[in-house]
Amino acid sequence: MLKVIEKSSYFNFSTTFGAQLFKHMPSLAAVIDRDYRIVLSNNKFDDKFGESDGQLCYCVYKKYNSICKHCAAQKTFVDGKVRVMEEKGVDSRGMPTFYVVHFVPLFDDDTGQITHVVKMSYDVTEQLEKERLAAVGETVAIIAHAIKNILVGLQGGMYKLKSGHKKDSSDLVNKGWEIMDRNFSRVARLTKGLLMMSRKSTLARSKVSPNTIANNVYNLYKDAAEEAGITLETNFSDKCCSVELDVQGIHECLENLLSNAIDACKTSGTTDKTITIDTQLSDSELVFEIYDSAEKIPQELEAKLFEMFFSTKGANGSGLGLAVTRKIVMEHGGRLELDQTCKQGKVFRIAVPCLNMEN
Amino acid sequence: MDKKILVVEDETDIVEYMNDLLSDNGYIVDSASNGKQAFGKIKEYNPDLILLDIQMPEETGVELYRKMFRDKDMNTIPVIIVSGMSAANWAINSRVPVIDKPIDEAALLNQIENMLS
Repeated sequence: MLKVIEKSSYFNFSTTFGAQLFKHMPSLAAVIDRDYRIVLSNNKFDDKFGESDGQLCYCVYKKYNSICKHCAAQKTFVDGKVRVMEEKGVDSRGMPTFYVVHFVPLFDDDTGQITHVVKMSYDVTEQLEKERLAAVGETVAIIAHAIKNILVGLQGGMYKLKSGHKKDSSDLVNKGWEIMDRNFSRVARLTKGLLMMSRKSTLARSKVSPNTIANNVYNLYKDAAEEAGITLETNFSDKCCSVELDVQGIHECLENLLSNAIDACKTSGTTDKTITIDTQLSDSELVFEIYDSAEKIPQELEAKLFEMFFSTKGANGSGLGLAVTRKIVMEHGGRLELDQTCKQGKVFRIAVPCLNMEN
Repeated sequence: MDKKILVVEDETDIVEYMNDLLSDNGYIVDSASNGKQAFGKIKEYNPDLILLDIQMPEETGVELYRKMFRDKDMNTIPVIIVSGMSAANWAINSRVPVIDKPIDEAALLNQIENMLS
């Protein structure tokens, strides 16, 4: 920790070891006083943000006109605690810059008061950009792979259509159309899922009974479940009053979970094929649960379950359903969980905080 | 005698397509949906050629290829990789031909004919 050498507003560190160390250290460093004015900065800081002596720190770092909303320096001046924050600023060229900054208090030796805060930062802009590009590259490769497989499916459908016309076989023609229709739907689901993942949060909340949403989803799938020999039941809480939710978003979440449960039961080796849709409401939380009696998901796959493009359904899954569901639930401030503690089967649970409940 | 081709691919629509294309061109076709299943089928079916996808559940095409390579009865069976992964070109021995997805039918049929002649 630096010692205050002079009590004047501006330091003079020109000859001390500490001054040399400060001036030439590889991280960006600036010292601010209680008026948030920069009283000292090192070479690396000056290169990044330009000359700054006597200027307000939020002007120099972020080009703001007023103090940052949750200013960490302000808190450090009050409690003397060291803080580490990730910040986004604007450098002297006007370019966005990302840095990790340590806020360190400086105490007056005589009074013990905090007179200054040192902000020591390291620039992570380039590292973040590399990580972003790598992630983009990986995502694009995965999307391209998924699309290629769908294209081959479409090729197969077209081949069957042509064969059908050549051999004058309506059976082949119909099968060809079926394959093309199926793969067209895959493209549509993939596109919809990708758009959903890429959009910024735009929840359209309105007051709705959770049981109404759950019941609508039940009605959509009850015939398909029955056809597949699956018992689909509901267990709706009578305490569920209207709460504020994005109706379309929660509907999509329940559809994703229920459709996964039906697929799991269809391919399950268990004799019991049951799915239950549950709603529960407490003082603070609304919970939807989808239980299915199919085999549990292997533990080694649990961590990957909510990742984009991960699917246990092979070609029949876009790999986006659970990722989209988790996104919507998190936008509600809630959580999506897999619970496999039950004796048989598993539960996917959506828990969202209750906003503006009304009886 | 007609030549036998084993299609190792997890996507059912692609398996059906390969079955249609190859049987229309005089080949006898069987399929497996992952590397593990394929290994058993190779022993039982004794194909003349294998069309091999890379990205599959349970056991990938790379894992199967390596097992085949170590088996003295299997390592002479010609293999063509049919994959949407650009990494397929370097995941397996570079002498194994690779047909990219979406499939060029003429290129695939030519490759098969050359390898079986």
